[in-house]
Amino acid sequence: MQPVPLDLTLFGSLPDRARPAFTVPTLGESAIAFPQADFTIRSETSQPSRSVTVPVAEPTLGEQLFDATAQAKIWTSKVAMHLDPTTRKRFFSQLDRLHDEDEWVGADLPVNLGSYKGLIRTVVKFGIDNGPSLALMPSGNLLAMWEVDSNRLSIEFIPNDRARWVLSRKLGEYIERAAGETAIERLKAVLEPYDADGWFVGR
Amino acid sequence: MRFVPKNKQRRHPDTDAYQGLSPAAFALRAEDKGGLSVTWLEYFGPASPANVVAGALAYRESLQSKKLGAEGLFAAAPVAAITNMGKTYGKALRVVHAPVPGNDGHAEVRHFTDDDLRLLDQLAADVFSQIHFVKALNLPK
Repeated sequence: MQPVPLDLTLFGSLPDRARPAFTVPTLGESAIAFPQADFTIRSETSQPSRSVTVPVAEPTLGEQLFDATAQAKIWTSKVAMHLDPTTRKRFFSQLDRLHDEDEWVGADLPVNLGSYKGLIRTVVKFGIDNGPSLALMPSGNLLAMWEVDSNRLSIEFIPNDRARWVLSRKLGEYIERAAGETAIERLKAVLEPYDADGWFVGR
Repeated sequence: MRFVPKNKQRRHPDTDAYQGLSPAAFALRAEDKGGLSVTWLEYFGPASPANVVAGALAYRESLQSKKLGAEGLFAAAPVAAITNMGKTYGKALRVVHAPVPGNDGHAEVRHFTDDDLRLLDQLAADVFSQIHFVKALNLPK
């Protein structure tokens, strides 16, 4: 049978480096992934091949988590001149804690490099110097959170410089809530009516 | 109650001290096949610390790894609070008993979608307010 392209939908949110180029035989068996550049896969009915097929071990969970954080840190080194050392150290520490193998559950994806880039670009662009706390969405997107007094702001960084945000702000006895999605370059303008500086700038 | 691993909690960026749940705790995971996956505490008996432990053990048994991170926690909420919050955001949530291998008390919050961050934020901040840390439960190995 002819090899058919593997549906890459499941890999859509993985970093580019982790996104493999595959072909997979339609043999009615579980898909086994091989890097196309290194190996040839032939069905049992095809002509004998001189190429040697060597199974490639799937990376362990620990390797996947290490690779994801390493990619983020390596990319950070390219923009390090824009980040103060304290901020960089804070993000690196949080990345490590978010990817603690002992605390990892299920099939969640490690940090998406595109999401991480959006976070760092936002921090640099707006000179954010107070946190934020980070959590990891199951998709691998980073969720940055600020809480000042009784006010909360959470921003999910979506690859390609997009962001989903939600906030709640206490105004006397009334709690104001708002949410939206925008380009990261518009974040401060969108949040301006809700006292953006109150979250973004250290006090 | 729902298990919340460490990376879906809100923790201090410098000290790592626990500060609360994050909206990420209620984003759907691959394991949430029929809705938001939870464990029905009352299945294990009247409300008590013992049924929290029983629910936690059942959840752990349902995992392929059979282990829970020490910094993880279980967040619990009354069913009515969950469904009422759903109504606020136009969702007709239903909590349905749906046993899975290892966890006879497994339940699903049906008709739940995670596209509205406001709902996730309020579930984290206002609804799932009973917190049980794994390390405080002293679960047997």
